[in-house]
Amino acid sequence: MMTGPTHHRESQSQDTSLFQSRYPHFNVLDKWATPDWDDQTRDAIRRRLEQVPTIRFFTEPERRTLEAVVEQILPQPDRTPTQKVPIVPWIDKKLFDDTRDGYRRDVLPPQQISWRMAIRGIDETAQALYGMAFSDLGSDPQRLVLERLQQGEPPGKTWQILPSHVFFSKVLTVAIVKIYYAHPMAWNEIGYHGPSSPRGYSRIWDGGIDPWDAQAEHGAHGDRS
Amino acid sequence: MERTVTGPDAALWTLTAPGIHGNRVPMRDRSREDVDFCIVGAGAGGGVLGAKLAEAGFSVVILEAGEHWDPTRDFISDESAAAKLFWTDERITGGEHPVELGSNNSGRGVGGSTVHYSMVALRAHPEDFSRRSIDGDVPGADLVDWPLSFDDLEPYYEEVEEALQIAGPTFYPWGRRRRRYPQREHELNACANVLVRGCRHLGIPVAPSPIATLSAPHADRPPCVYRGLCNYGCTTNAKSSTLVTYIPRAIRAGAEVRPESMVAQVIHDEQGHASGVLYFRKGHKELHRQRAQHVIIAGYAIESPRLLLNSASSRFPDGLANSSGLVGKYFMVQSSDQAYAKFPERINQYKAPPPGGAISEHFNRTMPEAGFICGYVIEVIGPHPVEFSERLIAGRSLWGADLRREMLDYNFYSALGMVGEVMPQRSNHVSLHPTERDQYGLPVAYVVFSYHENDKRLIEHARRTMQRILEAAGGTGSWAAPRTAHIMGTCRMGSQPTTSVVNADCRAHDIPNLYICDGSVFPTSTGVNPSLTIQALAARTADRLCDKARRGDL
Amino acid sequence: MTSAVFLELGPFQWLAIILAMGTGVLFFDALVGHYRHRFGYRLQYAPLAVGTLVILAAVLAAARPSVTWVITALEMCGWGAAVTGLVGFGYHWYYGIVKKPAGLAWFLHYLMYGAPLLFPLMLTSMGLLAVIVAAGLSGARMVFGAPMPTALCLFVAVVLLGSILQAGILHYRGAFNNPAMYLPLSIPVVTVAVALWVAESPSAANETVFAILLWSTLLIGFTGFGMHLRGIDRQMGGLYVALFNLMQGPPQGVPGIFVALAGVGLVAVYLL
Repeated sequence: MMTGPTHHRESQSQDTSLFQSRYPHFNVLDKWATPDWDDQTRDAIRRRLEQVPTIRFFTEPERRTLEAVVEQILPQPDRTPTQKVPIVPWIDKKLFDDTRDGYRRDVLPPQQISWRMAIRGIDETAQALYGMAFSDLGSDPQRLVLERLQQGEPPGKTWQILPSHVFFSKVLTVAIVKIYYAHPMAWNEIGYHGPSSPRGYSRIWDGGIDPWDAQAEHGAHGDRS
Repeated sequence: MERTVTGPDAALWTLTAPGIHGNRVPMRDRSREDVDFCIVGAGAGGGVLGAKLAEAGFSVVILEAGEHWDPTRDFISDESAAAKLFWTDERITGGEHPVELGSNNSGRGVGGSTVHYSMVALRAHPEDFSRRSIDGDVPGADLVDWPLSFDDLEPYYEEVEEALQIAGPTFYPWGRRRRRYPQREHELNACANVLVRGCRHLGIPVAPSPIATLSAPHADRPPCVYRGLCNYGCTTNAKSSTLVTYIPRAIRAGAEVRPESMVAQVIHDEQGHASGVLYFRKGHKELHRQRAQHVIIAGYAIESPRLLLNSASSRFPDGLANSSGLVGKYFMVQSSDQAYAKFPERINQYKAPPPGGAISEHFNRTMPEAGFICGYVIEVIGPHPVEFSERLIAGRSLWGADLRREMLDYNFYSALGMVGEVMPQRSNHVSLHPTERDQYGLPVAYVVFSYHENDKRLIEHARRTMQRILEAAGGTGSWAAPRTAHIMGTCRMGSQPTTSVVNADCRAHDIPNLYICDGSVFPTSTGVNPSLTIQALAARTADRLCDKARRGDL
Repeated sequence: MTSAVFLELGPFQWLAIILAMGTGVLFFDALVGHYRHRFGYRLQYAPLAVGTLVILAAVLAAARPSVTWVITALEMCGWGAAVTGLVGFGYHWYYGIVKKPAGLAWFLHYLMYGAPLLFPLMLTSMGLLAVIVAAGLSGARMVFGAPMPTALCLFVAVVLLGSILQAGILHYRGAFNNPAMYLPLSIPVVTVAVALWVAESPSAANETVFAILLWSTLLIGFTGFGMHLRGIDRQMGGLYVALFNLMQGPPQGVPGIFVALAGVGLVAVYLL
């Protein structure tokens, strides 16, 4: 119960300069057995780290396309495939279980339909612009395809029914960041302290850094207490 | 804190409910009774009513769609895991400015939105109750005066502030003169210091903020530990949600709080009087019935009108209490745009209660030459990583490497939020969706909303002001993101049955033993966070019900 | 001035012990409070350094009351502590209140949450007590222009008043959530008044009253110790998060000032 999952700080192997964290030695999981984590939080995060779901909703071609899309929306070029924060499996689980968000825009169909449509639409746009499937494109063309989605009314039959800018900015990107920034590796990179219960914070003022916070390693850190 | 029940009806206390310390408390089973009051919704309004009516000796059942939270087990210190605190049954939103529903306005579970709200505890101002008289007609909006005044509500504000032990400053500079808050204000966090510095620099009055979390121990609850996860459930029990204040009182006084019970319909007899409700109980396929002499609906401004509309019958084909046709109409939110800027020192915005401890109500009034009426409050916010990343998407359209890189500066960002008054427009409404159904087969709510011109100008003014404040405090690169908070208006209060749904006592004009007591009854939105006003209204309604009972008028 | 002995120690040896204890509790609170602020100002180490010296000198003086260099050292440390406390007061005033984002406009707020304004002056008082003790050990009957007993009574009155005010501010911040929080504002106020009375015109009667009040104040001080310790346990997590609750909770040392002041008064009454 008290021993945490072994998730060491990833050794930087790929192109690391783009995403240089200010807190290279900070690891939220180091506090697993401290008063910052309680039992229910440990359970929840353990499940998140250890029980990555299998793909049950998407077909293989859909999964491949979605992986490529996710890598554009939340790129992790500084991590090897096994080190990356998994995102597509959690989207898949959400759709397989049909866990909804409490509301839906009236211009969008239910999520199990809209995601399939969107993936199809992304391939249609890729075909229309570059004559290839999205996952076969290089990174720059992939990015351009998604920018067309963001702007609205990109080429592709599906986008005549599904408003691409709504799906892109309200569903696609949001679903991805909701998963990425819920992961301890993301917390480490931004220096977010993570769970805190029963212990809270004492140095809550400008520049205040608690003993159990991410310590200042790079960047300004004046203490204006 | 175990308590043995004694007395002649001790044998009827066969249920238990979660206490707030991981214990269980005895609770009375009233499922087979024709109770005095059946309350739908155990949130801000429902909790207050349940406690006061039970303490007055009435038999009370509170039905809640969500779970009865045990703070020691159910609140997880994690943004994502908190999804269970909000409505996940899908509502459909539309209009020119479709409203996002979730952590900003839709709680589920005992305590309702008071479990996840940011605890800002403000009184409305006396002017808020007579907007129409003061600011006149606004084309395209239906501004009205409330059928009660600040004076009517003042003693109840005091009563609720005392019950919740609101922590606020010794001298609060806005609104009518008042006595000192029950507890002292909190220490300020970095984000609040930014607001204070910026305001002082610009000559804008700023004060410590009154918030509903303990700054000193009270009864069996310890004070706030500044863990900052207030919007995801308070494990400390310092946050004075209804869950840890009024609900335990209600249970001790003999009320039954029945969780995981989704009310599908309010039923009535041949005379057109409410006779109880039908509800779905978790784990059971069939509808259950709770008989009651009076029904109080307190499901907040989307679920309450939805229930009334779903309760349509041959006698009331347009839904209950809807002879005016206004059930679901005049849906309002409050504009809640946020402004962000970066600072050279560590802010660590995730620490301490989001309001940070500071507030400015300087702009919460109709300002001459502003070009719009009504005003807004400027508060502090402290989003956690997921929410912050969503703001970067919404406010700066960031994604890809740009987004991930910007997030690396998360700890150096500070943010401000506004709560702005929104005009009541009849075209903004909650109705039943023609085709969508929820897991129970009930038509879901369809929420249509567009800002009024006045709202847009107010938001523009507020965004500019917030960004100026951030820059005056030393922030750089300020930007803003749109957002709304709170919901109200859909069962508006008034003295005339043709132009309102309930009267000043929250009683439905059409059905004498049906009450609606939550944010739905607000005829205007006011420019302050609504929770304290909702709870004061509920406290007043309970007293009015007791008065009526004493006179034999119930 | 008749000088009695208790447990084979003279009055100034007792005062030296009380001085060590009083400075000790202040040292503890300064350590916790300044650690909470990460010793962001270098001078925040000063009260710890000076406090240590005072404690050492005081213990030495109690053990070797007739050694000249010990007495001199005690007096020097006393002046050092007095000055340090004044500088600290200046810092607490300026950085703890005036330089805060809202400054003097939020005076009451920063009185509660900025640096505790009167704590450094308690260090100054301990410093002055050290000077008094040094004078007494070298046989002087007068100090600061007053006879020893009078000086000590005035000392008790002034410092106790300051302690009451400081406790009042912080107990106000705690909303007097426990009735016991009114204790330091009750009897000790009378103790201050009677201390002044005894200093002005001592008599057997008012000295008896004074003694009773001093014993009560001593008891209140010990109650404070117990309540403050309980206060840590009452916070979320209790002793499981000891360091956190130490920083956030009630200051563990400062009730000891009430004990120390009562002790000073009792020495003056019984042994001088």
